[in-house]
This record gives sequence, structure tokens and C-alpha cells, in this order.
Amino acid sequence: MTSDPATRARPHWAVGLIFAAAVLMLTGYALAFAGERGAAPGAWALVLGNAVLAPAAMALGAPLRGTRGSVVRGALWATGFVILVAFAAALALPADEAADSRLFLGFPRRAAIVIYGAGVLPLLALPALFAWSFDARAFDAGNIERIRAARPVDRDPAPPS
Amino acid sequence: MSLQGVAGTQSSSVIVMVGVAYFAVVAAIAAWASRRTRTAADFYVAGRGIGIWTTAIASMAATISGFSFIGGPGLLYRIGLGAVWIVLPLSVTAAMSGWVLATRLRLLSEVRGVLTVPDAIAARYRSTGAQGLAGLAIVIAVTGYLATNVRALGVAIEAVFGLDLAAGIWVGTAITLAYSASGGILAGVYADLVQGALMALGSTLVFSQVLLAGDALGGIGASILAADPAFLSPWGHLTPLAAISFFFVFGIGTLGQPHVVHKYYMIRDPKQLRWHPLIMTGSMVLAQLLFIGVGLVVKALVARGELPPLARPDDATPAFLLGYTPVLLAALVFSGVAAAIMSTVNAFLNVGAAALTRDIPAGLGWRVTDPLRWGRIGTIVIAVTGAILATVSDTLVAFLGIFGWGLFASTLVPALAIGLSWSGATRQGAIASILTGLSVTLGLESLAYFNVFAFPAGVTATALALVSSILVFILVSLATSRSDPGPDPDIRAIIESAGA
Repeated sequence: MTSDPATRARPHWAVGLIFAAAVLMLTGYALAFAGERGAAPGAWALVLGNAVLAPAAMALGAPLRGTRGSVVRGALWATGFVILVAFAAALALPADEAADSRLFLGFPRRAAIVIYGAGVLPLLALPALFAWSFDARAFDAGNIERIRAARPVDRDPAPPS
Repeated sequence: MSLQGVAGTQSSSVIVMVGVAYFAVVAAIAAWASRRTRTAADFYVAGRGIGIWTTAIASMAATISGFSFIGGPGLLYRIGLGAVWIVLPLSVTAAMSGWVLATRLRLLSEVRGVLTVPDAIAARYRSTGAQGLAGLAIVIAVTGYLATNVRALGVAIEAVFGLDLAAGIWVGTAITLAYSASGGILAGVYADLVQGALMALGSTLVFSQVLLAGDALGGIGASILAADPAFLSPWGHLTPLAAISFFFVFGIGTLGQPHVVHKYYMIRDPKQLRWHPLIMTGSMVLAQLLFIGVGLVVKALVARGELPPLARPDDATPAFLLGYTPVLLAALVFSGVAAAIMSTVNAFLNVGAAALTRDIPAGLGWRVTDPLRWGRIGTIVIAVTGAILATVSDTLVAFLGIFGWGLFASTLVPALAIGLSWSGATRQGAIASILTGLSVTLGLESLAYFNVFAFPAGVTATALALVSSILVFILVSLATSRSDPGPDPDIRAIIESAGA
């Protein structure tokens, strides 16, 4: 723990990734203003931005240290990868939906990749991973007392209730 | 549309009886909760005494408005799978919110006694100014959101009970207000439990009827492909940019929804937060089955010629319920529509009242002496304002309604979610990002609404405001880090209590 402003100003690496993702998003929207020519590269910028942003945002709070942390880290990378592959496949594969298209669990190929890839896979894994990696010790009475003791004496302990 | 004219007399009687029974249950919860609401903590955070199942299902019910039951299926029927991108982020949002906010907000509640999201922002940045600005953004967003939801509630009551729209709006407002003002969030979360269960059960049962009527997902897909292949492309009839943009806005934007994330304050045993994303995701998936199922099956039934093309896309759910489900299930879902709207309205009233009577006064340097009484007065003021707006002008409602989600997201995501995770964030960064979210959302949405200019397909004011406020937050924080005193030691410990 440090109060040195110079150290404090150093960005958390996840914040750096969020910044990069936001720049990609802004670039994507800016390209859209260029009309038809900018629409496709704009969509690609949004694909990249989303693939970076979702895991980076989760990394702001997910436990990333120790054995469990390495599993969570792997899951976050995998989430970004799944989003990237699913969205990129939807953009890159030919738009060949037709009356005789083969269906995968009710959807044509590109839609199935998006819905079951980016929609269902993380949904099956991430909430269970959260439960598995949750560190309940943060709410131990001793830890809460330790944090309370760190509160400056001139701070309002609690707004009126 | 009145059910009296569409359903048979017997069917409409069943629907009305189920609706009356539902409202009676909500009234009973209100009466019970009002006797247990004695302090502001009871009123705003249910005395921090709610169990995990109730908290998680209440979070789901507050998230899902009537849109998922009426507007969503209608949108899917109209634009195809592009609409699914609105619910696609569900795959990551509950875990994301749990990791980023659950532990930190709850520890803030334990250590600093915070009751609202702007309270947390004030504690993080030692800034009542940031608290007041966040409160102002919440009041503006809540007012617009509330007007649209109250109007939708009026439409639902009009359809079920045959009242005129204005009467429906005031009856719906009065019922919701009765339990929101008397029992506060304590009444709200237990009503949400009933409402959420009703939504999930009704949605799941309707989905089973969807599979029967459509000849499973394969039959539905084949029928649609034969008539309109583009409907089942990943983007439907949207552009790729528009569809992918939904994922961004409804994904990361979840971290700034105060009526949902403040539920973390309420749980009795914070160690049970472990199960929150699992329960919330599971119940959200069930409740969203209707959104996707009905939108798809109605399109398939129209493609097969078994249903006439809909005059209005929003008729998709009523048309399917009345034509393809048992009357009792239709009645359950019509009550579920009211439930979805009322639970969202209650959550808005709660955070709006808190912002109006607690956060904005704090920003102005005023100290409220009787917060429970003022909380109740604030609830009434916001509810009546929403109902008046909903009654006087549908154009005004449409205009105000566009500010909801985007304003929450662009003003609160950076200062709350990133700021509670990054000790390098500064007070100036927080204030600048909230002001950016407010000005970009209100400015661009107003210009677009009044046709001063049109965005390219896929670009929305919400998305631009969210991106801008994130960038401004990080850049201003980096630029001002040397002059900023940084978080208090206890807040720093909370920031470091989760994450890398």
C-alpha cells in the first residue's frame, strides 16, 4: 500500500486495456461517419474493442493471483478469445443464409457461432467460476475491523440512517 | 389493444381474475413491509437483511422491464437476430458486475455505511460534488425511464381491465407508489421476488409452448429461412456495427445501473454474494426465453401463413399468448408483464428518491434531518412527476425515455466501476466523466431526436457518451494524479480487497 502520487498514477494494466478498447470503439464509430467505406472497418474495430473490453473489465475485480487466479486469468483470456472468434467469424464468413442452409440447434452457421459461442459458452462458465473463486475472507469480522481502523478520524463514518 | 375485444369473454375473465390476484399479493407484501420500515437504512437498503435468493432475483426483476415481454419480442420480430445482441451480453454481465462491484460496494456499506451509489462515489473521491452530480444524472435518467415504464404499465392495465390509458397510468402508479412509499425497498425486494418468480416461470412455460407451436427450434429456423433468410443472419436486418454496438452498450453499461448494483448493499450475509451471479444469470436466462422464443416463433408462424402479418410488432406477444397458449398461462404472463414493469418502477423510485433527497442535497452541502420522511416524500414526488409526464404527452415520454440506460451507463460506469478498482482515479476525473456523460448524452440525444442531424447506422448517442466518458475519466485522472490526494486508506484497502 502506498500514498505516493507518482506510484498511484501508474495505471492498473486492466485500465490500460480498457483505455485501448475505448479508443478502438471510438475509432469504429468515427469510421461509421465516413459512410459505406468506413462501415466494415468500423465493425472490425468494434469486434476488437469488445473482445478486449469484456475481459479487461472483469480483470478490474477478478482474483488473478495464486492457483485459482491462474484459472481465472485463463478464463478471462478465453472469454476474450471466444468473443473475438465468434464476432470475427460472423463478419468474415460468407453471408450464405438461404432456404436450404443447414441449421445448428435451430440457427444457420454464423448465427449459431455467435449465439452458442459468445452467448452460451461464457454464460455456462463465468458465474460458476465466480462462485468457485470468490474469496469470502474479505467479509471476515477481522478484515472489516482492519479496514474500519484505517478510516481517517475526520471522515463521516456513516451518513445518517 | 383491449383483451376484452380479442380474447373471448371467458378468457378475459380468467386474465382479469389472475391480474386481481397478483395485485392483491403485491398489496399484502406492501402492508407487511410498511410495518417493518423504520429507518432510512430499512427504506433504502432493506436494513441489509435480505437473503441471497431474494437479492439475486430482485436484481433480475429490476433489470428486466416490460421491454423483455412486449417490446423485445416485437423488436426481434421486426429486425431479426440483430435484437438478440441486446441480451447476448448476459453471458458476461453478472460475473463482471460481481467481480468489479459486489465485494467493494458491500465493504463500503460495512465500513462507511453507504446507502446509495452516489454515496459510494462520495466516499471514493471525498467529493460531495461528485455525489451531487451523480445524483442529478440519476434523477434525470429515472424521470425519463419512469415515464416510459409507467405509460407501459398503463397500457397493460388498459388491455387487461379495459380502463382508458390515463386511468391505467394512475391506477398502476398508485399501486406501485403504495408499496414503494410505505415499505420502501423492503417491500420492493419481496414484491420483486414474487414478480421475478412469476416472470421466470411464465417465460419458461411460454417457451415450451413456442417449441410446440413452432415444431422445435429447427422447425422455426427452417420456416423463417424459407421466407426471409437475412432475418437469421447474425445481424438480422441491422448493420453489423449496430448489432455489435448493442453488445458494448448493454455489456459494460450494466456496471452503471444503480437500481441493480445497489442490491449488493442489501444482502444479510455478504459471504453469500458468492452465489449472486449464478442465481441472477440463471433467472435472467429463464426470463429472457420469452423475448427470443416469441419473437422467433411469431415470425415463423407468419412465414407459414398460420398467423397474419402483425399490424404492430409489439402485438407479437399478445398474438402468440392468445392464439397458442392455455388461457391460464396467458393470464400468468399478462400479470408477468405488469410485474416486470412494476418491479423496475419500484427500483427506479427507490434510487430516484435517494438521489433527490439525499445525494443532490449532499452535493449542495445540505444535511437532511429526517431521511426516512424525506425518502417517502421524494418517492411520491418522482412517481407523480412520472405519471403526469406519461399522461400528458406520448411525444415527451418518448423523448425522455431515450435517456435512461445510456445516462446511467455514461455517467456512472467510469466513476463507479473503474474508480472503485483503480486507486489512480481522481476526483477531477470522476467529475469530468460524469459531466461528459451528462452533456454528450443529453446533447446528442436531443439533437438526434429533433432531427438536427442523423447518426450513421449503428452509432448512438449512448455509445458515444459511454466511450467518451471512459476516455475522459482515464485521461483526466492521469493528468491530475499529482495534485489529487488519492483515496483514504480504508477506501484504498477496499479497492485492493478484490482484483490483481
